[in-house]
Amino acid sequence: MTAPPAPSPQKSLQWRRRLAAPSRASWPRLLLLLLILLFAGLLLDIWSGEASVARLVTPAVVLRVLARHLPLLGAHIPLPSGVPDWADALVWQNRLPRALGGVLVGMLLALAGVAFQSLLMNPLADPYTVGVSSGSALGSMLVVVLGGAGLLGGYLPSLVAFFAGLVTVALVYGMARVGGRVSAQTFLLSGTIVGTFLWSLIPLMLSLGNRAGLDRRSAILSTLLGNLQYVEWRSVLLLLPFGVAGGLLLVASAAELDAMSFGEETAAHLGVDAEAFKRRVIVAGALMTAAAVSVAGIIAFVGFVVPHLARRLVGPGHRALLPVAMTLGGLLLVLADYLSRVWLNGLEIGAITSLFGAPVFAAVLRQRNRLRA
Amino acid sequence: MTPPFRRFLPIAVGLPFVLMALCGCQSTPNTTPSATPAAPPSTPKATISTAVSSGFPRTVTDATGYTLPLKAAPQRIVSLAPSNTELLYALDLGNKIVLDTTSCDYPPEAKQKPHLDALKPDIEPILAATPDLVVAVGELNGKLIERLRQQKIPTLAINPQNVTETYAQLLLVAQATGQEAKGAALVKEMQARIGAVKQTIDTYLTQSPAHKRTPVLVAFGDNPIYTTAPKSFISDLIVVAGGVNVADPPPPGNIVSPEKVIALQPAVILCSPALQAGLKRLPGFASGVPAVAQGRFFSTSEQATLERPSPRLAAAAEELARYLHPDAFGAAPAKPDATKPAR
Repeated sequence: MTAPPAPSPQKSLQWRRRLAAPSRASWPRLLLLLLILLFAGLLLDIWSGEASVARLVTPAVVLRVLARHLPLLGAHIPLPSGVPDWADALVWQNRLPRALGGVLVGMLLALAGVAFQSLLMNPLADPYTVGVSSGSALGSMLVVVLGGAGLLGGYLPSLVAFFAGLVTVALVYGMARVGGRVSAQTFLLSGTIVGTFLWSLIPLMLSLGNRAGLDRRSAILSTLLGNLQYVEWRSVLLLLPFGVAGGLLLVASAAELDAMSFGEETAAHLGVDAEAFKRRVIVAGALMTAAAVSVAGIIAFVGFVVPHLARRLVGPGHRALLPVAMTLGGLLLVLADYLSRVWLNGLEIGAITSLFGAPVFAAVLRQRNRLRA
Repeated sequence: MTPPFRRFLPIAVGLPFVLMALCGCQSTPNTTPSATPAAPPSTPKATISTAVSSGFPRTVTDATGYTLPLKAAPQRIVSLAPSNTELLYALDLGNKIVLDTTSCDYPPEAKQKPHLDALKPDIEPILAATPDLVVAVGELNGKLIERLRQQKIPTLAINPQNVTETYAQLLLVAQATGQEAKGAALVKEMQARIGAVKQTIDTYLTQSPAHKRTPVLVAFGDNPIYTTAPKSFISDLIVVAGGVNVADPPPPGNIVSPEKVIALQPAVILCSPALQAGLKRLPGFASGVPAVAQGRFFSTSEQATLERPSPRLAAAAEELARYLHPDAFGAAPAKPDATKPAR
């Protein structure tokens, strides 16, 4: 995907190519820029609210509330008069965990997307290709339809979603395993088969949920469309270990992922234990995706588009690709959450990511084709 | 090799809107404030005055402006909504109902009747029941009403949006079924009971500046939280009972965001008992929303309803007023029955 070194007669095209595939040395700078953007997006999301709320909870109030939660210092910072005492609950317990949870979900999905696309050597793969999303969603919907949504302090649907996702991947892996080996093609196919079958049960769940009453119906829909409304500090703490572990594991495997992109045989010649490696990446990707889906439902397109965008920015080398994709995923989701909360009257975040994800991806694809021509 | 979820996305995205349209169909009240053209143009008395005609055959003009010819007092009645079923039972016509919906749960006898699917009533079972009157809900059963009228089945469409319209349309049903006397008595009783509550509360509120209206949030669903705009019968009754609907001006689509609920600071939440757990679990609600912090959730008893335009509204006004302002009704504290499940 790197631009050929031959000088191009057209200056603008040359510039574009450099933008599309900058030299390897510049990726840390790009990552820094993205991190700054991510931080800015996070602030924007925490600062803003719909107009009537924003009048009372201004950015200054938000900063005060955040400052009051600093260790040691916090206790000495008073809330200025005129600031309602519920601002703390609104900012610290509602907005902040929601924004942070969104960032983490975006990061997990983007990382898992990179992992599956590289491992399966298929640009159409995404975290949901291997059936995790269908399995997870079906699991939590089943709990909701059967009326267990309130059990375990309301965490039962999430827990079941998480384990149902993992069981689904185990099933897919088992199906694809022939004589101790798993080929990327077979894995992809069995993932699609299992995923599509489980997905076909979802209209049934919707129909059953419809009859079960408004609260169950809306819980089912929010799983299906992706939703950050119930993300709280505990969800953030639940996601964090998966983010850290999955991210570290993948970054540590960057060289092997690079080798795998030349094909399995080449990778084996380069000293990669292909089977063990594949298993490791699949388990990591499945854990990350299941964690994300169990907290936020199915958020479409992030795990599919972000790896492609990141590859356009820094090329296919995984040492740069993984952190850049991760940051980009977090940024995309926090911006989608901002749009949803402030401008789109709480439209489900999965609807927003797919609304913007598809056109962005189409544009990237067109640009690439033009450069190749 | 499209991942399956992408194919379903258009359906999934469209569904909430469909559901929003449907959810008014059973127990929940109408959540679309703009869609009220079917309601009579604020002339409830006009429909009452036409009720003087006695005996059949007669003609009745319903809320959609349609005039039904009725040859004789209906003996086989189909009800297409739980509120209609309640009205018919209240008019002593329970034994003439031949078909009602899966959502009809009051009075309990209504559950024994043959049912139609409340969400998508099919025309065939209705035709098979050979009714001489169908009582439908104006904007929800739109297409079905058209088809029924094509089949020459007298179909009365009612769609009360507030308490006044409830009276008027109760009288309309009474007129169509030859139960005028019973209908007038029912309306009179409702008016008297709601009027008494209003008077008690008004006196109480003017007694002392410390007596304030309680901010109340109506919640259907927790994800998203649907609420009810002012100018609905729920809102009317909240005002009668000494509260004030915090969703004013109504949020777009009648969906209120969790942080908006925190900012609105409702002291009491009206919702079904099934919803309480979900609302308590919303981040920041346990400490940031007074109603949740103090466990002030209100739902009506079996004998009352805030969700349907039915004669039970009067009892709901009484229960809610006693819950919001127990002091106004003497020293007797709020009855614990307010926490019992409604349905």
